[in-house]
Amino acid sequence: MAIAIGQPGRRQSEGRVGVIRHDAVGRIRGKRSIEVAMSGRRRHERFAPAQPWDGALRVLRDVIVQEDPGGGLVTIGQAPGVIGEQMTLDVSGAGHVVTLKVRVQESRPVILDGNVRHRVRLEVLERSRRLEATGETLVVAG
Amino acid sequence: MVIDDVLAADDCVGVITREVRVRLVNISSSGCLIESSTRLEPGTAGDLRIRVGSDIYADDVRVARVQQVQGAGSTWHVGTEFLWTTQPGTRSLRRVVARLRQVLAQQAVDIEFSSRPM
Repeated sequence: MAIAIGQPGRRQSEGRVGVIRHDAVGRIRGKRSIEVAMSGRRRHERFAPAQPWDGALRVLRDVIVQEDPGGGLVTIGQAPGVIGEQMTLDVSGAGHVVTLKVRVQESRPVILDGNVRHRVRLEVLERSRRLEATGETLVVAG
Repeated sequence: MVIDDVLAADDCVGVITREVRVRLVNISSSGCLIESSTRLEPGTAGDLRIRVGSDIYADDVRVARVQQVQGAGSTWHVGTEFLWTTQPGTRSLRRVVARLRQVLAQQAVDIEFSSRPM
């Protein structure tokens, strides 16, 4: 079965989906599926596009940011970098946010307080700055 | 104000955003199965944005499980679950599922009526 979702008049290929039927233990009965059987925890009906829909998963991680004496920036965080990968680095402080498009130049593990962290050297490609949104007033007691 | 001043601030926070290209394999009301050439760690939370035609639908998700696709090189199937931290808006992936279910139900009604003898 293939059905179209979206607004009328769209090309059929843009939003076509099929329904994967699966039995009580979660085994998929579709003919061309390369998905393996899972543990049967699934309770909800699943819909599979006839042509996969593309997208992106944006993952945010907090990092320590330092200036690199050789130019660029260095971050220390829990995840390693992939050399050549482009990412966005937001540095907030003193009411400002600096947004930088960066590219990973080097990534190596370091020990910090007994834990493995990753020191990633970044080349800055673009930078922009804005005032931080002030939705709340910080009240310091005492 | 330059980056030095921001870095020197006592409330300085750095956040790195990584964008991982994915393809949606299937979707249900509880989550999505996505395919990626990047391995994501279970427990990772992120903002999933999927293009459907000319529209982009998004939701916050958490990676529940990761499994390498056999015989497909460095390809991973990533099971994600929706995080119910916000109301599902009009561009929520959770609303896509509701629409799909309704379309299927309507199709079933159409088939039922078209197959009845006149």
